[in-house]
Amino acid sequence: MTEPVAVSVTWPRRRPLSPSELRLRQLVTTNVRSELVGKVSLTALAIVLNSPWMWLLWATQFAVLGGVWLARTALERSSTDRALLILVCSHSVGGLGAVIALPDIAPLVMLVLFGDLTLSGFATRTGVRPYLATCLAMISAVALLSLSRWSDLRDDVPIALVVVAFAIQGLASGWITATSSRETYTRLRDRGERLRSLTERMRTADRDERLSVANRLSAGTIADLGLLRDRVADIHAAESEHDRRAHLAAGATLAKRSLARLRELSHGLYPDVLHQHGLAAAIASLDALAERDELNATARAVLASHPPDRLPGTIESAFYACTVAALPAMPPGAVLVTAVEVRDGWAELLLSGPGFAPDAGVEAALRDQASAVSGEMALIAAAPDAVVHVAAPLAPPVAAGPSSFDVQHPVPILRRFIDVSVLLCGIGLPVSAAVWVATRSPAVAVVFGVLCVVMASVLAARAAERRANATLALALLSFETSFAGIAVTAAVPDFAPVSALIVTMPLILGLPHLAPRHLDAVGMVQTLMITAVVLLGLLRTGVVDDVGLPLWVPLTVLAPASLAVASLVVVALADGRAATDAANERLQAALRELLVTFDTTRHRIERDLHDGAQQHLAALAIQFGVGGKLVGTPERVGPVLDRVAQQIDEARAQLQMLVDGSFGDTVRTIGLATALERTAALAGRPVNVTTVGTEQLPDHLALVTYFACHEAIQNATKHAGATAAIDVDIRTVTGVEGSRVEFSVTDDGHGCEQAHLESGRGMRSLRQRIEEVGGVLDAASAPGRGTSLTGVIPVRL
Amino acid sequence: MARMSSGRPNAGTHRALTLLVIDDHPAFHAAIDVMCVADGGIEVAAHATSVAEGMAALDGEPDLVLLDVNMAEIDGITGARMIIAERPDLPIIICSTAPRRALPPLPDHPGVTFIGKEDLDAAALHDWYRARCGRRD
Repeated sequence: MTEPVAVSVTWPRRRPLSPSELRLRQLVTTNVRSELVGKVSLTALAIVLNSPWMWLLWATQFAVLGGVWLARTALERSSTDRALLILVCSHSVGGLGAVIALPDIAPLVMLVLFGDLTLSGFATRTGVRPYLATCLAMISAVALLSLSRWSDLRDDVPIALVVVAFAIQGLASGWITATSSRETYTRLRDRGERLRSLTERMRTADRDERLSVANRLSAGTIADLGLLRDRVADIHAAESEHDRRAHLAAGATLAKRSLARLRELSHGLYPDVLHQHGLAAAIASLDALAERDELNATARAVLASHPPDRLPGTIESAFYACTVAALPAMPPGAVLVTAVEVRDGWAELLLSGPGFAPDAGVEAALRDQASAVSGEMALIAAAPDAVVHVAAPLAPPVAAGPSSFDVQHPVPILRRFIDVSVLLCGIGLPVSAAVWVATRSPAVAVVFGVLCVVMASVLAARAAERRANATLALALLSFETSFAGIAVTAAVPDFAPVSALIVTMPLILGLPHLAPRHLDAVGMVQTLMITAVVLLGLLRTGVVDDVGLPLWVPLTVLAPASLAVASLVVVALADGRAATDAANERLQAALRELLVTFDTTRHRIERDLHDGAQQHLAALAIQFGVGGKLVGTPERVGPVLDRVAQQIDEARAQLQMLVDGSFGDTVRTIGLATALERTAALAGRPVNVTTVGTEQLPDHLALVTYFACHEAIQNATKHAGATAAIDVDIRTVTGVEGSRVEFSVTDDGHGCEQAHLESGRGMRSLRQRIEEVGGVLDAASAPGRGTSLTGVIPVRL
Repeated sequence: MARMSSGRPNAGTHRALTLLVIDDHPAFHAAIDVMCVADGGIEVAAHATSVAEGMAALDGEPDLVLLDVNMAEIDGITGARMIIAERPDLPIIICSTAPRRALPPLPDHPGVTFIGKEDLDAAALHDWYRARCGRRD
């Protein structure tokens, strides 16, 4: 491995924060600031009231501050899951202290815990379950403790003050919770959007670059070979030895220059040194690249450190691409210092240097490269001496979940929620009826009535959902949750904590799929509802005022109801999170697969160029040189020139075949039939091509058909055996279902096991290409019985 | 299998310089053959298309090894180390179509040098052999 140069770099303490972690840190920091203001007021109140319950409240609220600080520290150390657990535990300590001191505050505490529940969107896949379980346990504890009547604090505080304070706190907390909930899922969904757009950008960039390579090969190397052929003719036609010598020298020079240009082209397309010898060798080779016109004329790159082992291929490619992308941001003559490190399961790259000033375009390119390997990028020092930090996980998460689960269609989430709601109402109705029979309490009668309305709404929502009317279903569920929250609290103020959770449901259900502005509207309504619930619970002025239910009633109804509603929240959250995660990870996996395919294709082209045209040009340079030595003896130079001419023709044919096969540039200009006949002529064996009605095929279908047939001919040439004949048949057929193009490539060669045929990446890639245009591809082979490839593509004009 | 040269030994005053060419590209082998025919003072002792074949052909006692870098299975740099271990006095010319700077470090051994394939000529081979082994008898 190439040794790193002796340049010291200072590594940041941790890898770059992801956008989601950055947002979480921002949320936590905002909360610390707002809570500090509240804590000062609380201290003043504690001093004025001087009640032990008030001091308990005071102490637990400061414990919350400490917990938030610890959570922020954990976040800075890349421990997002730990930070979230610390956050919910500290909120719970504060919440439990507050509820013991002032039970009426329970709905507000529920609201805070609900906010914590939605933060589960920030947890990792492994951390989300313990986090949600902790939240549920805390919610149950708060619900139970809200029934306690130990504290006499409320008697010491004027009710007007409490109402105003709770109303303000309710509105503020409600809005903060709604915003943070929206942010959590917006971030997750934004990631999906970013991945979609990144995939498209990568695809376009790859296509453009390959087309550019094809054009440069046609205009460069193929043209150079034509000139070399002319040189040979010139040598034959030359009348003097001096002229012959001059033409031979010019031929050698042209072959060398052409080889140098082709070498740069191949390196730009796929740096083989990177894949053969690793990132360190590739960065060392950038000195040679720096001489290329399209990069900064004099900037160089040096490697300051590298782990002893090689990194995964995709990460090496991404880090190399980052280094290449950063070079143009260096001033002439400066040295870009790169350093590579592995920490905590992440590979990290640090780019720095005097005068390093990446503009927005370079930054975007670096970020794209990082995102493509599930990584992050951060600019940790600004220009003129910028420092860029890139990190990528060594083992990215694997896509999970059923492939049919689509986050863009909320129906599965709604369906699950509705089913669970029906079940809970089904249990709640007989239980509340039984309690009413035992107590004859009007409050319980109201609860029963509310449950009837809820059941009716949920059933109507189910009908709407089954008719695929998700909007109506959501609207009905919003109505039933708001109605239930208000009505139940009005009936039984002790139920306020549960009601506070119930009215948050529409927001939760809307999180995975509603647009941000719709979520804002839902969040606003939710905030007003929660404030209403809080005040109804506090004032106890509802339908049933201070009913004084026996303790067993709330114990048997309230606590299970809290758990049930909280579970509903968790189910909805987990469903939304799972759907978003699965969609994002599938996108990320598809992007990774795409990058591998790009790499494989580019590698194949680079190898073809290296093994074909480059070797021919080197051999031609040698032979033109040899010709120069023999120019005085025509009988000896003649055979050398014949061989040179033959080699030039061979190199041109090979290169043309590569350009046609890999880029398809000529198919558009000369048509499918002619292009395939040319491929057939270059195959060096009998290839019978039959085309019927292919002239009218749209360009993109002609190209796909050409690629498939070209690939099949190439494979048959390589594997079918030297004497195998190949038949190609392509025809456009029109039937009752419209037109379609049918093609087949068959050979009578060695054949192979069917499993072997299907296992190759080439076949997968070919099939994927055909399926992308709505077609199907079949391949069949058996040892000794040849191979056949058949495909059908519908023609949609 | 390594292919032994079918050319007749040169009938000059001095024994011809014998080459072992290890490269998986037929075009390069052919060009070296043309060069040898033109020069008259160089013969290909054996053509090999892989390092493994080249190692087996060392028994033919070549004077000089021409070794490509990018080859399947064992690359030329590793191959050079293997040859040095077996025959430390044998001069080796590592050659490639890639520029020297784009390649990993060559073995740190006085008998090893690098020449770009396009710059190879008979004089370069004679020069390197003389530099390492002095005049041939």
